[in-house]
Amino acid sequence: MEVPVIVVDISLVLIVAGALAAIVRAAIGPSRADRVVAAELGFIAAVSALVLIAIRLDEPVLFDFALIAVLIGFLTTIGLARLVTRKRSDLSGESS
Amino acid sequence: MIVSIVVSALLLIGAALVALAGFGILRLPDPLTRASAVSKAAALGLLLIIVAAIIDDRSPWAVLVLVLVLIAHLVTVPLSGLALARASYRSGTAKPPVTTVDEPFEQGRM
Repeated sequence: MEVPVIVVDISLVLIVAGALAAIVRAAIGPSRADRVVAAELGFIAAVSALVLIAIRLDEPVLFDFALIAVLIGFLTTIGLARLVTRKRSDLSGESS
Repeated sequence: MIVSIVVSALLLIGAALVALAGFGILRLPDPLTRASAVSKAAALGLLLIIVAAIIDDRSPWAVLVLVLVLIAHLVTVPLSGLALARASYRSGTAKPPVTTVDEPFEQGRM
């Protein structure tokens, strides 16, 4: 733990700005694909915030949460993307 | 001292890249470019933050877990970027008023 605390705090504020942008896009996004993209940005911001909080509190245990969150975020993105894709092909009767 | 400066620079650049991806997801015009902003800029930002954490915390267990996070992130980011772009194409929001070329339609694969 050698990094100044104020640097970690500024980084956390920047990541919160990114997460707020993702929330706004998920709320106003005109299509479903926009909302999936916003969810992906939200996951990346959450994992970044987890790593930064682990550095800030000097708790290496939180890195395990970051590992699990990366894998869960990947599965969730794939699932949401498949859901968006599947929706239209069900409606129009095409095979995916 | 040098380590502190390097870690601070990596953390700030990484967090600024995530914030820049947030700016891009608000300002870019269509879902394909927004997916591009998220799967390049935000992914690189998280990568830099993980590298900074590896340099900062040099205990073996933390380095092992963080290298695993790094590998998992590097492997999964292209796949999720592809899934995002494919979802935005298949849901019909990336048709020729938005994109000038529609190669999957021209090749009869849609």
